[in-house]
Amino acid sequence: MFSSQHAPTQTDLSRYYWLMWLGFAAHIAALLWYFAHGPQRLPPLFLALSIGVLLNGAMQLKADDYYRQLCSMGLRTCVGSIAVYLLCFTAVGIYELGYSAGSYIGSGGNPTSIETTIPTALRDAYLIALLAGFAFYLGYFASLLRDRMGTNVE
Amino acid sequence: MKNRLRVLRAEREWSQAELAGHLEVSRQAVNAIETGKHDPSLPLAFRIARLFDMPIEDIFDDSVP
Repeated sequence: MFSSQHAPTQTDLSRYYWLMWLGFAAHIAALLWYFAHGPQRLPPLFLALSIGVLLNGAMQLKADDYYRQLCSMGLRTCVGSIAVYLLCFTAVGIYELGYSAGSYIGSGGNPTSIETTIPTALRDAYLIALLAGFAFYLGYFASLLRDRMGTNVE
Repeated sequence: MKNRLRVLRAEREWSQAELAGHLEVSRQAVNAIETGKHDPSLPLAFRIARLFDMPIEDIFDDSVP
């Protein structure tokens, strides 16, 4: 009724929703692969699928209102988890700085070297990016499943 | 926000997919609006009002959260 020349069809719009499931499955596969084999051997198919869906979720081209709302929840979850990660990282950094300063003073001014207590895996940017993407999917699907509870599809 | 979309659709004997086709949104969006899980944007609310030839406030009730 309100069609314009470049308006997405019903099929186009519904495709976004099931593509999100496909992207989520690919993302989980990529994460599992990362833990099993490390970042070097990640299968390009899983990554391409997940990256494509994540980009679509960020740009939301030709998507409808509801899809944007779900993606917005996903993006909020993603940004929120990054903030929590940075907060934890900062807290550990402050603790290590204080410990380092205390050791220096306690040892009478002798420089001491202290190993960081943050595990190497949590300083891996690749893993952090994968986990941030996972947080996006979690936010999206938590919102979708919450909405679907008690609804009738006709 | 409560709305009368399901009733208006039933009066015309449209399925959710048919209504979605008229509004150029997905069936999932129509379902979410009908169940009050999603509030449509202003442009979509105007499209709904034009489709049913009714004022927006006769379809959507913002007095009940």
